Amino acid sequence: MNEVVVQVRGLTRVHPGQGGERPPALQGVDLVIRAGEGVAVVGRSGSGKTTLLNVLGGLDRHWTGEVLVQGRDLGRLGDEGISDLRNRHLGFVFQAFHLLPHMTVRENVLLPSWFGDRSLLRDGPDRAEAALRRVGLWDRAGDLPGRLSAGERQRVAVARALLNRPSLLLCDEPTGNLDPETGLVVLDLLLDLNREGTTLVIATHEDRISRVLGRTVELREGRVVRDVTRDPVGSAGREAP
Amino acid sequence: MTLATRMGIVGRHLARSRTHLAFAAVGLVVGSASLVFFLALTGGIRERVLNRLYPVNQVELQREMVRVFGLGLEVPSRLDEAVLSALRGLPGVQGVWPKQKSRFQAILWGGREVFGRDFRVESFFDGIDPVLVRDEIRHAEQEAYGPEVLSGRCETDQDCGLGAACRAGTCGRRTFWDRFRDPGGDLLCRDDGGCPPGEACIDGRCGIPCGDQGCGEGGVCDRGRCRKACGSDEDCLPGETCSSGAGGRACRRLECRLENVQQVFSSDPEVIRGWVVSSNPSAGESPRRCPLGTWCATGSVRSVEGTCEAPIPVILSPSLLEIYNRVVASAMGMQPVSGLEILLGVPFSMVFGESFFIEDAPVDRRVLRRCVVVGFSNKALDFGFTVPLGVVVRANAMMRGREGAAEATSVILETARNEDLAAAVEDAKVLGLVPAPRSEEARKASQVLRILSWVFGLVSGVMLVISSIHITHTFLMLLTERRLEIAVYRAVGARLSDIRAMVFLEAGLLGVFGGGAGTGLAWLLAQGVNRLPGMGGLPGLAGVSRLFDFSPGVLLAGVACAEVFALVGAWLPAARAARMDPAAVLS
Ligand SMILES: Nc1ncnc2c1ncn2[C@@H]1O[C@H](COP(=O)(O)OP(=O)(O)OP(=O)(O)O)[C@@H](O)[C@H]1O
Ligand SMILES: [Mg+2]
Repeated sequence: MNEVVVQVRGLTRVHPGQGGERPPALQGVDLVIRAGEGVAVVGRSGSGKTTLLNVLGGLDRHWTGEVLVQGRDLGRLGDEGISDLRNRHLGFVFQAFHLLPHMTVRENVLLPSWFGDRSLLRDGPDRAEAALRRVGLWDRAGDLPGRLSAGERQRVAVARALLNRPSLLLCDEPTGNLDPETGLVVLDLLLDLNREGTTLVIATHEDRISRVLGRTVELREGRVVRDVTRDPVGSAGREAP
Repeated sequence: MTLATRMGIVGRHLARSRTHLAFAAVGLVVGSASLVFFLALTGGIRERVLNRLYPVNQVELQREMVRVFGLGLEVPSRLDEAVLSALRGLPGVQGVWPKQKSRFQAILWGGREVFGRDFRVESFFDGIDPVLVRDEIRHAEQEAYGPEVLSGRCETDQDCGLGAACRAGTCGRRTFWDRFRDPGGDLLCRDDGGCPPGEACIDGRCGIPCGDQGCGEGGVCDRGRCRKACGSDEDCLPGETCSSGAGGRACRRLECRLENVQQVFSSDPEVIRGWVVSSNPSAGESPRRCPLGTWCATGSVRSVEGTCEAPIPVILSPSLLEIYNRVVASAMGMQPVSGLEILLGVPFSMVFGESFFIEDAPVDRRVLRRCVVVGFSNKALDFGFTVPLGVVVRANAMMRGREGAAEATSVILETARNEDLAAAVEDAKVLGLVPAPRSEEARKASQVLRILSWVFGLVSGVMLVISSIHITHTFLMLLTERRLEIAVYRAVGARLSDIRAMVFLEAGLLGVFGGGAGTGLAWLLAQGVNRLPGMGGLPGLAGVSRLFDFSPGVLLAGVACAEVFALVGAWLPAARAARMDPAAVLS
């Protein structure tokens, strides 16, 4: 069995205004994700998908329970530890791309290297070129994001997430803002990365995504109600207890 | 994150928000400009104007005057050694320097070289401790003649030319300061009563008698009187020679005589040097004149016997020049004088005991003395001139006896700390002493100046506080604009400390630019003010070329204040930026 990348036990996240009538965004979530897995987190709107990803990425720190990422206990890490974890081991892809409009495509991709240690800073330019070639946009490296199509922008965002060669790639509705065809291009890119060994977690509404990933975790009102793992060939999985 | 990448990102932020930031910096520029301008102005006035009249930690005290029916009468207390030592004992006092005025009638003439013809006026002078005017004398001489040391090998003074002296084989200028510090000169006497306090009449000359312990370090007891020990003539004052005697080698003044009484009033520089009287005439050495730079000063205008002496060094008040140019020159059809410098080195003569106003002293009590101008100071007598204290004491003793030399006319009091001065002045009142009018004015002026600098400092401070608030406001706005940016930085691994540091760095750069620009602006403004017509002619400002004092401290204060207020202004925004929740912005 592959090593454990994410280990979650009894994770509960209550946003302000929740509790009582409204259920918490996450309640008592247990989850183990191993290296190389491709996980689709599905569920209705408001079921807690984004909240889960934010907790795993260390962007949200107001939860209870136990969360280990890359063997590190997020509850015990300070800001410095979590920032370094993000910088070295995690990649984010957002629904709204979140490229910085004043920087060129290449600079956007280089961004993580500016906040890392000297070795990442040194390797940054080479890695940025490799990442942009990987997503097929090296020829647009000098453009500002405003001149790219939506699909191209999301591919640049993926390249940015790849710069630090992440062990865990967290994508929140990466195709949500794209038309189906363009979405497919981005999806293929992500699937390729997963096949090459990158651990992938995608929060999504789209069935076609959950169908092609090896594992589906369904949330409802902040609880895991289904956790299905399929064979890579696509045979039926097993229901969660 | 390295400093270079941090600077790179901050540089982008600055460039992108330059308009907002420029407006935010206006307050800093204006605030620091006004701070620097007024600091430089009040500092300059204090340093260049007031401190010349009276340093802030000095005060001139004189005996209290009691007004009776409009007449000023001095309270009958004496400003003698007892009072002086009482003053020295006051808490906080670090210096007590008596001043003494001449107490006899005298006239002077000279100045043909500068004024076109000789002056002939009643002469008033006082004596001051040389230390009090050292810097001014050195400054004036350096302005006029450049560096003090001349080069060139030599054996005697003659090898070095006029005004220079041979010291240890090299030519050096015998500086005006050297002359003023230690003018030398012997005082002839008949008994102890004709000598200043502390001196006795020994072999017809006033001198310090040897004490029980001899004459102390560097002194030699020679037939009952103390003399300075020496190795060669170079160790002695002008007009002295180093020769062996009872107690060892010591400086002795050369005796001289003139060929006849008419030569006493001669203006021939060669003739007035007379002839040195040989100590052992049998040796048959060739006759020689008093050394270069000295002349043969006789005991009275009726006597041909005297000693080789350097001219009495004299300093003038700058205001004397103004009086001359404005009043005297036009009234008497004489040439106006453009600057003080040309008076340096000008010789003149005095006769003690003669007067245009009162009866002359008997002819055999009249004495001729030669003088030379060596410097300028606001501490010099406004209507007259000022010489080293020792010269006045000796002259008063010669003309008025010991009693006339025993009492100071005023005293300059210096405290170690400025704050102690007021208390010392109060204490001195008990001794019957009050500040001299000029000193009192200076004190009031410096008080006004202090209040003004506080007011201007406060105004500048208010401007800086407002600019600081403006910076807070601008940065809060900019951070709202940059919310997404900061959230993305956080998502790719920026630490909270990185975010905070970038905000402070940006504000810090703004502070440096704003403070630098403000300081530069103040400097430009000062240049403009300096050029205003009439700046040079303000009363009391003669010789003041720059009214502003841009010391490194003032410049630094301008930039540092802008910097501090910029950083303070960035405090809240930095905290706000760190508190922002990236998850809320990104999802
Ligand atoms: N910052 C917040 N403050 C208060 N409540 C929040 C906040 N963020 C999310 N929630 C609530 O938490 C619950 C889970 O939200 P979350 O964004 O995780 O859902 P989601 O599954 O991502 O939904 P969607 O599919 O619409 O993106 C929702 O009820 C939402 O209203
Ligand atoms: Mg969501």
